[in-house]
Amino acid sequence: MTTMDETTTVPRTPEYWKHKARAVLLPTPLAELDAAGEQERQASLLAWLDLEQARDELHHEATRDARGVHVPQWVLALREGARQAAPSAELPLRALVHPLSGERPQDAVDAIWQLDELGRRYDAWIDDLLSGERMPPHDSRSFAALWHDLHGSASAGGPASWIAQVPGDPELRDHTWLAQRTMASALVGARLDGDEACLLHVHCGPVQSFIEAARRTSDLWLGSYLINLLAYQATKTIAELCGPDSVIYPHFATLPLAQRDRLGGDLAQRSTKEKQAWLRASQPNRFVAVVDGKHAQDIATLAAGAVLDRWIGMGAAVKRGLAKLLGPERAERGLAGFDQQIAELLEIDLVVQPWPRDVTAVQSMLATAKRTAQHPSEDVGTGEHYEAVFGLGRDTLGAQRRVLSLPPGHGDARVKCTQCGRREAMGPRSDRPRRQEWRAWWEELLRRLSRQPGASETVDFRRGEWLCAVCLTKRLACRYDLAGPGGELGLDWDLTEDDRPLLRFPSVASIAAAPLRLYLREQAAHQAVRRWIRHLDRLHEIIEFKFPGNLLPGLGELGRGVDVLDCDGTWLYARSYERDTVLHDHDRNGDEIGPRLDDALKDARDAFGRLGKMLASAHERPNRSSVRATPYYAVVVLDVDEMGRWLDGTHDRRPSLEEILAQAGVTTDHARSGGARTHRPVSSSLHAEVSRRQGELAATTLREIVEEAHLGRVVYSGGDDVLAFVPLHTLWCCLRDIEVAFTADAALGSKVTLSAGVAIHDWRSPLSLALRAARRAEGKAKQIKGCVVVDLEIRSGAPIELRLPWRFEDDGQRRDLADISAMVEELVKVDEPGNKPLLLRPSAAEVLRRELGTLRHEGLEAAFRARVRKLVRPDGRVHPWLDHMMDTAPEPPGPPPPRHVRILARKRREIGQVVAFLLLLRFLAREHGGLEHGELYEKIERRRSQEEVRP
Amino acid sequence: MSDEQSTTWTLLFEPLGVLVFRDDRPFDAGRHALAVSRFPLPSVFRGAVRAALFEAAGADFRRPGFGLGGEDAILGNGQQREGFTLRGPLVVRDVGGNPGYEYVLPWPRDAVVTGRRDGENGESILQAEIMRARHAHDPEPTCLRMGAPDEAGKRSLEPLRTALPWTEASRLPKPQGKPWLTVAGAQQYVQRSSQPESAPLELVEGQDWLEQDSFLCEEKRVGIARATESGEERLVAAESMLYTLIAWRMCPSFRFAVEIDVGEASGVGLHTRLAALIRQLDGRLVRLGGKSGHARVTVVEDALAPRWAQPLASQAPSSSKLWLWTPGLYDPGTAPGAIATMGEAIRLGGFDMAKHQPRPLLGALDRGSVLWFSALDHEALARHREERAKEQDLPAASYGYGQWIPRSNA
Repeated sequence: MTTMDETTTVPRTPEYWKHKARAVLLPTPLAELDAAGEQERQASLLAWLDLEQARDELHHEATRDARGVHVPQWVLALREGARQAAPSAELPLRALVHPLSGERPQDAVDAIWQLDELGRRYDAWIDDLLSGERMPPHDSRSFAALWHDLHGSASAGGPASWIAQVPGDPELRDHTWLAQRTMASALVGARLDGDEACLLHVHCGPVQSFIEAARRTSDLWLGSYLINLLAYQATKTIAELCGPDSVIYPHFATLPLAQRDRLGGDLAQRSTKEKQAWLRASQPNRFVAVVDGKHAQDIATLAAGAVLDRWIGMGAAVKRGLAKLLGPERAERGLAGFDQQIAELLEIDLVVQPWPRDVTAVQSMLATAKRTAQHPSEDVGTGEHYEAVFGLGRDTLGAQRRVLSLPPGHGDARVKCTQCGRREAMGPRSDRPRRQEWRAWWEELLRRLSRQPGASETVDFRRGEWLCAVCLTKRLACRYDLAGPGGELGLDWDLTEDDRPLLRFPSVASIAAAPLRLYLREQAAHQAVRRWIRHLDRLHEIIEFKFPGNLLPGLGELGRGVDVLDCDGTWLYARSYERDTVLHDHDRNGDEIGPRLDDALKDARDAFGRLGKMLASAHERPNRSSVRATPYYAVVVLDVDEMGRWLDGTHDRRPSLEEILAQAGVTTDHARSGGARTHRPVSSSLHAEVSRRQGELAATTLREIVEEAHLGRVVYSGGDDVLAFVPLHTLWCCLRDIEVAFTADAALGSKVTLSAGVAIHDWRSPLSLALRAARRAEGKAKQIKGCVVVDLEIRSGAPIELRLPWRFEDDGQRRDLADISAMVEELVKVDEPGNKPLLLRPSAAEVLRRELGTLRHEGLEAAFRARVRKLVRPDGRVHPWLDHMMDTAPEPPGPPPPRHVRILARKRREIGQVVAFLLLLRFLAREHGGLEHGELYEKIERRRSQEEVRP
Repeated sequence: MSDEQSTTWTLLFEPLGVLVFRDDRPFDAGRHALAVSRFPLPSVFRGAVRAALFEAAGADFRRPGFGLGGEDAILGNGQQREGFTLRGPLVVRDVGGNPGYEYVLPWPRDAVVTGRRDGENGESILQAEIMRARHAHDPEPTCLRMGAPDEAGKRSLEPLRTALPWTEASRLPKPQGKPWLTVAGAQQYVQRSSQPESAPLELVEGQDWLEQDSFLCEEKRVGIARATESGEERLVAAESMLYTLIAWRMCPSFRFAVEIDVGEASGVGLHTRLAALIRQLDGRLVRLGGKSGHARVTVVEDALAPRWAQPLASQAPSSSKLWLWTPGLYDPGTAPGAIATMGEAIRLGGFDMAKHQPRPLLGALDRGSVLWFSALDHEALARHREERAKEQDLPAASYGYGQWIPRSNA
């Protein structure tokens, strides 16, 4: 099947890449610090580049527009004064300020840099960068290598990390020299032939419907990963045609797949950790790049074509695999319409938004769109208008996405896909379809798959699952494409011990039971544990199934090696030892294995009982209960509030120019008299700086928090979005750490807020319900912003929903979500027979609930509070969280609403939060599982500090 | 209007319990763990009303031709479609007085919520803007979209050929919740849509809009499947045999409603007979929403559409928009005169009882979708709808019921 027009090309000359390289390297990071030495450095680099024409004006304009803000003359004069006041051999270098908050990082240190030392560092860096007689870039590949090396050397821990401290502008110290050079280079490329730059906004879909058509966690993860992989094809194509610098969002160097593409040689020989990284979905499906207007449509065509080709190639690989498995005749009969379903799936929208270099043209464009240019200032280039132009292009893409197209109608009379319901399931197609014939086709597919090598590792399909071409491709993409012959990740599906575990995702039961599994790992030598594992082994032999291996990085290295981690988490729940449950869960037929199964199951159940006794007796728990696994886990969906407004310069909390200038030593009075009260325009450099921070957060920091520190697993983490599974035990600390990570100085700063939806469900509940609940909760959190909405679906009880603040101040002390864990610990500790805390008594919350109607009226607040205190803590010590939840719910950022509105709001619904909060605490105490948080986190730390040695 | 003169009736359905309107996913308890309901399609109510009318006419479903003579012209048969048009389902709420009910209408998708604030009495006020087609910018951005596959399966990037829906508001927030419009809210929307320059809508909760959860909420039900792996057909309350069903529960003061219309050309005899049959349904229980689902019917001898509503395409000016109150069969890409469509795509499927096989899926527009027309050609549009309906043998008139509104694009 052909996809796109194959004749489209975007010609680039060596001069194009050389000029981009010049823009990346010049002015050097020392240009503003050591103006005197710059000429020599510049001459040296220009000689190396050997350009046909210098094009100084083009480069000057690009730098100006990348910087994107007009710094008044009087500020420049101030700087000059300060410079002259300092000894000539020293450079006072103030710390960078945050690009979004405009605040100075708390741990920031102003430095005095010695010019000589700086010169030596520069020389060492440039020598290293141009080492090996590096030739000036002459094509896409060599330019990309230079750009990546530059970013690599300047990254934290890189040989020239000092470069990351050099500001792009000495006054506006809110973006780095690196971000500014990146955008200047992108602009030089886009304008080189006298052309105009354009912003190319891209959207690849469908996303939600594609990802959430998932029966199990691995479907969910793979759906998310495939969308990430497909969207990456477009990003990569743009990066190849225009350079990686042209991709403003996401930051190309932080993408795991981009890092893979830089590697040469045999990928199969790479380490497990590296391969693991390539399987992390962090490419957003919506992104933006700077391209040249003349070629913009061709670039768009090639980018979209790359996405389509990759998807169609994936479908073709799966179809080929199935044809080989089923035989040509059976495949042809059952896979009718396969290609069509695959071809119709993708939705790709692009907008090419002009970004003229002429100020009048930009202002006229914005005026026509009835958008206000925030900075209609003197002729200082169009860099200041970047935010408005970016916002216009983004909104145009949003408007385009609102225009509906119907999927082509090629349906037929086959049964619909059991996973998505959006297309006909594969199977024989005829005018008079017979269900038996159609069922037989699927049974045959199952039978043949079960004969494949490593079939006992995975249940590819269950009986009764009938999938369309899209869901089939999702289900089998790992087997036939990603880790099939010649797969792009260097993985081999048939390497069941090494590679296959990397392509799998833990079950929700494994996530729910993760803390207990970590505990058992340290008890692996105990007789009861060994016996339990032995009987599970025997049981697995009978049901012809293998332990899946450890799929949680927080517990240890992925794959098999430690028995207690290898077996699936379901075996830590007594209810999994039911005969029918075992047969159903492993899709086995009781007639074939009946008697043998009964014996093995009885033994395994018995061994599990002994394991429980061992856990109860060997370790004295705080509340004398045995250590056990809670069946509950959490789905966390979160993102940054109003990220779009931060980027298009319309956010209420954006810093003013005055605040930024204050960091350069300009006094407030001075700045005000100079008219610097307007907000600091979001330039392309500033956007690139934010993208880099988002990229590092998504690709590294958040994974470490969720997976390594809190035993969870991330499904998707890209841009400002996260979707993750977390055990109940670690949920609150994990949420706290995520919020801290997002609002850290090194990330998005203290002014951004997050909204999160958390769904706490039993692992036996359908996965899609938990996902829906989490998304719905996130939507509710978004209505308020800056809070967490928890949806607790108790297996045998009324659901609880409540809204929690991320943190609040109490008498100058910071309170955050981690306190909830501490409160639960406290409750559990005092839970002794005969001395049960009032809150854990069956009556407490119900009494409150009943009395709420009477006590919630205005004027009875004191009585309400007294009642809560008496019921919860008769000794009068009430945790600040309870007080907080008795007061109004967390107010949205910004000015608080008038008092009467707050009171009414409280009367209507807010005061009920304390009851929900008490119910939540009671639930958490019940599901505590006897494993203290301190002990659990000690074990996690111990595991993290150990060198993992694979047996 | 007297009984004899009435050509339109409204049937109100009061659900007596939770209702299940499953999506197109096959569901076998024990194999699948989740069955999800969606908002009911016109075909659901068409089936329920026809079955109820057959029963009212004394049909015996075990006998050939159901033992009826001469009712085919009214109720239809395998070869002939019924002699009435059914429009719906819609949602109505009890507002007291006479007729006592008014429509609650799906949110028009060309109105975007730009903000939400609390009113003086703590009520929630939605601020919404109605999108207009964007005028040319200079320089104009290029909008590109991946086209549908051609016959060879080739897809290419094409310029967007439709108008671009636009608001002057900067970045629009993500949609939150599922608001519906009351008649008062709908009237504001219709009036503002026709005005060249208009201020944003300010819609007060309860008065102008309602959240879907407040009248139709999802309810989870857990069932137990039969254990077949063991070769037995017994009920086993093991965890793996539990399945979840998402059903709908409707608030007591709300009803589903359908309008039944008999054309004036149908003849007095047909009209009288249908009127008699419909009248018999008043107060009856009909099967609706799952095997054990029932609803009580109330017959209202008129349409409930508000006076200002113009449901007839023929009265719409050439520059109009259609706000769909029920799913529509128009294809935005080929509907004559359509310059842009905002909304959601759904797929119509179901099971063809006559052929005893699943129906092919057909793409359609969900309720609340809005189509903008320029140079509207009523006849061509009707033909387009008929042709699409034929693809799945659906009664075209039952789909695409909504409000025609003169479109201002200033």
